[in-house]
Amino acid sequence: MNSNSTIDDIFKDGLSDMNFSNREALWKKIEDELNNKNRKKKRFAFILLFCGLVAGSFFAAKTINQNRKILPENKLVQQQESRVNLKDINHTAAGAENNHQSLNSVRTVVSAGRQSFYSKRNNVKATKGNITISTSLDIDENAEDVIIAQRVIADFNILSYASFYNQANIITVSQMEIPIEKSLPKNTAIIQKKISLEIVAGSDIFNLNKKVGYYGGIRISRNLDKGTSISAGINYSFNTLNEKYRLSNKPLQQQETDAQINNLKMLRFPVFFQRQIPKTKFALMAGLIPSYILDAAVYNVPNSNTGNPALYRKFTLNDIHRFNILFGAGIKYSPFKKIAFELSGNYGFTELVKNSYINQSNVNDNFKNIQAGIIFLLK
Amino acid sequence: MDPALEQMLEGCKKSDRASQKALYDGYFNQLMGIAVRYVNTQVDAEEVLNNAFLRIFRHINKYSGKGSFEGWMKKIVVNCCLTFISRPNYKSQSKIIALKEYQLTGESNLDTADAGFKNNCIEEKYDKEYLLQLIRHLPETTRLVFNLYVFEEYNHQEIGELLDMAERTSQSHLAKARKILSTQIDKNKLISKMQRV
Repeated sequence: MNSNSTIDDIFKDGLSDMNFSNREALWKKIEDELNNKNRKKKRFAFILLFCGLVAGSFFAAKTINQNRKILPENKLVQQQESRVNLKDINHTAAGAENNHQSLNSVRTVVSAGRQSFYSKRNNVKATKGNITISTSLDIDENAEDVIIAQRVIADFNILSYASFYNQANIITVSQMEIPIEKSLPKNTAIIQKKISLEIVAGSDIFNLNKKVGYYGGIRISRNLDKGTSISAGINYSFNTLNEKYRLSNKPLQQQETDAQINNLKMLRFPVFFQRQIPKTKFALMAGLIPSYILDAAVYNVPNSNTGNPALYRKFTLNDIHRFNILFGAGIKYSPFKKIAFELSGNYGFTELVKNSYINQSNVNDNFKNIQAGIIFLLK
Repeated sequence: MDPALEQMLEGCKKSDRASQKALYDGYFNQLMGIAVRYVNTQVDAEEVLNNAFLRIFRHINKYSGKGSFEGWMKKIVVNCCLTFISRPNYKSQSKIIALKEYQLTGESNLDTADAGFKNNCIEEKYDKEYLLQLIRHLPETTRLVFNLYVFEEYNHQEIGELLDMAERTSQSHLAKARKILSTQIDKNKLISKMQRV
């Protein structure tokens, strides 16, 4: 074997035209991944749709709230509108006390708002919390239209607008903030602010798919409307999974064997809508949980294709560093002002698939779990 | 270009599954033959080829039609192999697996049932599995240089650029590979002669 070209030719000719038997099995895997690519596209569209829905909800809530501020029915009158705040009105009330006769003729119309105000003469009563707003306004006897509108924002601060229209003399009371907190009925749930910051932590209580774990994180909630809020946050979750799955080094030699994934670590980004159940301390939650799998790397597989039963084999998942989408729903119980409890369930739309050795080993087929957690309201 | 291949490529560009399958069937053995030379095990080769075919199907629109389509695919497979080998955990895991595979099971993943298999051996009747094992047991960089030079017909300058080494180093690795392989083959010939005697 002296010549370089001879040794090259031996290998070049010897290794040409090789035939391999596992063509179909490998094609199935490639086909699956090509299909999976389409599924990812669909998933992306779904995320976009969801983001659109969230953005739309914000926009709708904002628009609705803005619309409620528009009170005037008569545009001519609107042009003559002047605004004073509550203090100013109270200040001027003393001088108008003896004008009761004219006040009796004031007609009030409630234009908007769930927690309606009804005005009797010039006294405006808020039905919520039995708050009475007394106004003594200097109103002309010829007053024809009075519109009182109010708006209640979901965190129970009332922003009210009372507009008194009179063709000759118009007074508008605007942005009258009435803290209603103290007068809430006993059964009313914890009072929430517009934007709140929460710490949440908990664990799986049900080992669906043989999985247990813990989670913890923070989230921010914002009220959209009375009793409805949206929350978004970030959670770190840690799970261990024991699962049986099929494994082999050749397509026709599949066997079911024990596998263990240690340290299934994920970052979750839950986006939930929350609806308070009226007159209770419970709230219902539902939303989506995009999750990012940080690590799902180690399998310990006894008796697998090493040929030696004593040997354990470790290999890695290539499915780490990928996104998954889970649907989540639950119930939240808020017995205290700062502390609440939640019970939630998650269901994943995608599978974690090991892509080495065999196509068919779908491990952790859907992320399913039921979790219980505790929530601390920070701010 | 061959009209059949052209039609197949058009189908692949439209993500037509039948065309993709036809392309896959047509080039599977050839491309797998490349992958098995670069990585230590059949399983690794499958993973590489899987990635390579996915890359081919996803980027087939980038093939401009200039140059050989086969060459374009081969280049992708070689690049996939090099990427696979350069993974940080590849060396420790794959090497051990390779040795276990040969020592414990001695399994060949080549299709030994193929009727032409034995007849395809060259002058000294070396079978493909034996030659493959010889290449696989070369030191990694030496094996890469040998593969790129002999099979892919890269010159030393190109190999140097690809593997980030000097041309002289590439030449040295090639000489080393030839020496190891010829020693192994000579040894095998000697054993064969002794068996015959």
